Amino acid sequence: MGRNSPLKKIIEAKARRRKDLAKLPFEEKIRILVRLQEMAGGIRKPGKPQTKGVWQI
Amino acid sequence: MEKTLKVIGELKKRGIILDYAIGGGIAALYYIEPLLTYDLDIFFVPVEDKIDVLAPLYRWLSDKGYGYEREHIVIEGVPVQFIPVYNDLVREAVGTAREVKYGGTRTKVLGREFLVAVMLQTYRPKDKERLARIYEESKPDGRKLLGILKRHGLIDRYREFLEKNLGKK
Repeated sequence: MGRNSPLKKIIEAKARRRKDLAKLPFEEKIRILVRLQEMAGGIRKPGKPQTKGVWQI
Repeated sequence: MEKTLKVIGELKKRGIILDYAIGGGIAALYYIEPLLTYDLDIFFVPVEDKIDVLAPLYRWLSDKGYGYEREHIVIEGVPVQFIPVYNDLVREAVGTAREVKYGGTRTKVLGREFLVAVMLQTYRPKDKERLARIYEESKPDGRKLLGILKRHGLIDRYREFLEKNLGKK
């Protein structure tokens, strides 16, 4: 992978994005977590009960 | 979440537990990008070392109307798992936890280096994944971490983690 390859740039951008997300305030991260729980619940297998729930906060 | 943390703080104020700190996935989330988790782990120091250390706090929470869901007690919409400090490392981690604010509520989160040490000790696949993320996104203080790992006999485990997961020797 060359120094300026598109893939390398994408990987670096993703790493930067993760570092930026890591700096978010605690409260904002919890809001994102609840959204992640909602999204994970939405992609469960049809007909299967949701075994883990979304925080009701 | 803030209401949940207030109730947990009340347990300490009322002397039902001596001390506590957030651990597990939510402690990791405090330091790294948001990750999917479903419960809030609370490490706590019981008032007395007796067999059923959970009974006093579960009794108080039940009286407040909070119910159970498998191994959790649901406090203000959040499933909380209370884990008594089970060894010297976790006890020290709680004692030195970082004081943080969530909204207007003060709480405690395991310090980054202690969180790393606890994860190295439990070392489940999800701990390894979170450890790798901490290293990428929120690097621990090396000197502080080595001191903790030496005191608690985790140096070999740490070397193994670095070698296998980060390609370092």
